[in-house]
Amino acid sequence: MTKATIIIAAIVFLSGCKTTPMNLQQKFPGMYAEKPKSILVVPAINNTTAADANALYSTTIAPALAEAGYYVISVPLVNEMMALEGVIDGRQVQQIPYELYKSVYGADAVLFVSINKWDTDYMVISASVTVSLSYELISTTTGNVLWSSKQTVVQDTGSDSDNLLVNVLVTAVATAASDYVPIAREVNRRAISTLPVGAYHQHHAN
Amino acid sequence: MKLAPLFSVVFCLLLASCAQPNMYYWGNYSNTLYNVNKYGTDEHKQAHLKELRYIISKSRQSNKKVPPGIYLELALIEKHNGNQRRFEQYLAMESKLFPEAAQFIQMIKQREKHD
Repeated sequence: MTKATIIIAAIVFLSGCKTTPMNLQQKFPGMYAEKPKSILVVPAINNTTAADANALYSTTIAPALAEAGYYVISVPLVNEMMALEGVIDGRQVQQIPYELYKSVYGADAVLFVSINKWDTDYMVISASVTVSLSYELISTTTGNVLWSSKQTVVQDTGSDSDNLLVNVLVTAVATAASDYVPIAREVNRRAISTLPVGAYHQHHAN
Repeated sequence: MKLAPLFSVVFCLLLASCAQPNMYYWGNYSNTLYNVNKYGTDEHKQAHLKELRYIISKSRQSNKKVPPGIYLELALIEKHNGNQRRFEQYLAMESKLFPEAAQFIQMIKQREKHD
């Protein structure tokens, strides 16, 4: 092992750490031009048949965005206010002028999340849970799309017992009890790793 | 192979530099809120309230900022329970931590007047 090997290894590891800011800046120039600080997350657009996907998903997004350095306007409070107006799905607010999110809620940007898959596929001896989400962050000043991402995570929830009958039963039970939240969190994590960090993040550059 | 230990140290340092500690303490926030949304029983609401309070005390203990929205959720619960003074205190605390919340808090107060 030579010093050169170590240096090369170091470079490889360091470059693996983080997408370079230059790439993100080229990809999402609006984020750098507008530097949104506060984000309002509207109820998700549910494209699945899972009626509760929206309410369940909405519990995972605030921590993910906040850890990326953004002020997230309280998701449960926004959900409650919107529900009082009869809004339970993001589709219902797509036509609202973006400036209203600024003047009424004080949001610099509004996040639309579409739930494209939120379900369990049963096969005879195995099962898998799939969560697929797409994200679109829209400026409340210009109406431009500042950032977007699409992610899917498939998690195998089947068992690996030798007994077929036991397998079938265990698979059904394990999947029924399996929680979509950790999978949704992983989808968020992957998506938000492509979002330039916000003002509260230690790596934020002014 | 005298360099092997050195390589291990470099490797560990690099891995450590990649991992970032959480900015906020969230505890079981998503899980207790999930239960409120899914089941909506008083028991689950109490558990979530307890978690919100725990997040605040734990954040203070570890010198972290209380996460965005936690004080607002508490404020709303206090309002539902008729504790006007606490409701306003919690709104003020969120506002102090996050100036970006000002407009939203003003809106909450306006709605409150119309109730």
